Amino acid sequence: MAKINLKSNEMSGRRPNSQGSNKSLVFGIVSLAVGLAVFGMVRYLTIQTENQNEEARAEVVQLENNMNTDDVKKLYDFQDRLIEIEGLMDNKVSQMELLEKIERHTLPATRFTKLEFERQSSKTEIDATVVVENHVELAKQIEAFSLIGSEVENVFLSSSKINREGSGIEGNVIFYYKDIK
Amino acid sequence: MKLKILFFPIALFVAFMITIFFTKPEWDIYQEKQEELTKLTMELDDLKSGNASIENATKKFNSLTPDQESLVLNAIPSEEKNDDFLAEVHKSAETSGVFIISTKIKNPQINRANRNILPGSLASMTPTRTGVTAEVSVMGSYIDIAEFVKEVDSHNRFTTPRELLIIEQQVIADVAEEEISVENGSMIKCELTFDFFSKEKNEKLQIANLIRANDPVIKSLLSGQFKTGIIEDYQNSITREVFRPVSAGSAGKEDIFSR
Repeated sequence: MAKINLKSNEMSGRRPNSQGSNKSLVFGIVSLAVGLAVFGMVRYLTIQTENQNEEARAEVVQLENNMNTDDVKKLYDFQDRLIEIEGLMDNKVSQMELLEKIERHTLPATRFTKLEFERQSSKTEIDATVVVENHVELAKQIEAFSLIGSEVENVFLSSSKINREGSGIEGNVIFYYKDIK
Repeated sequence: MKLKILFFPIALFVAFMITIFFTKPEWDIYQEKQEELTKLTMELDDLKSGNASIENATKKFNSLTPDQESLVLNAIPSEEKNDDFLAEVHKSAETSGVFIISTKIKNPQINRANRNILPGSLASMTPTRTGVTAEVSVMGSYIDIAEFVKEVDSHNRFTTPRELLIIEQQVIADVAEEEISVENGSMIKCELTFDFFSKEKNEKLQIANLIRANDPVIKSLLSGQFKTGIIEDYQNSITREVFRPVSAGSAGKEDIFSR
């Protein structure tokens, strides 16, 4: 005769297994839900931030376009020229100032026959041909040029010879005038 | 039953996978967007304050006198305007009492043609300063020549000197003898080489594009640095008066070879 199991699950001691599987189901669903919820939350935040970005971008474009008026363009052009002038003024070496400095440091007995300024990258080369009475006066004149100021460097006599008219010495003096900023 | 028990580890694994493959990349995107938002907010704040600075600068600009405005526009005009340059040199020669022997303007067009600008670059949006070299030869006494150099130094049209040659002349031309009176000292010849500039006006200027391209001029305006102080410095140190451009007057002649 076949045996019939009339005992319920509770009685057969299988109950803990069923509880465990239920718990596993619940925990599984909870962990899935948490995972999905976190993803959903992050996605929501991303969309919200993107919307805020869109709004900010539109506002930036709007503000930039508001600035695109004729008045602002005119102002821009003027400021552009002012900046150019400022830059050029900073780098300009006044030839008049240089001439005045040389005049102040020319001895009464010295006479110029040639004076040449040539602008180089950050200094001006000055090439002067002077006529003086003798070599002592020429030496004095070279010394006088070197006293123009700290801007002056390398004052040297390039050549000297008797003047064409035979009335003194003609000396060619070269020196450099540095830009001081 | 076994499947039910296995559901938790499987679900945990799936949740982990969701985190790795979906939530993490999404989080990275979110952070990028947040950074972008911070940048945009800062840009917006800068623009709002910049807008106020530009409004102030516009008010200042509108309150400048016509002479102050002309002084700057003449210093670096929008066109080469060689006629005005010549007129200004002539005026300086007249004031200082020297005689102009020759004037030469070196290749004004070449500078412009040589500009090699990439389309879309900042340089293509903004005009570039063009420099032209001029050579002027004059004759007179040293005192007059020094005065002429001073005059050219203080032209309203901005000039930067390149070379100066002052040389004693032994032979004096007949024309010069008649027209120049030299009281003290010998006749001197002066060759002056200098640059003068122009900068084209860009009618299609797009301020918005310049802001995006971080143009230094618009940046200075946005940060409230409208450099009106330069006008005063320029007027004080270089220029004595605003140059009034020449006009052709009434032109028209039937026999163009007649005197």
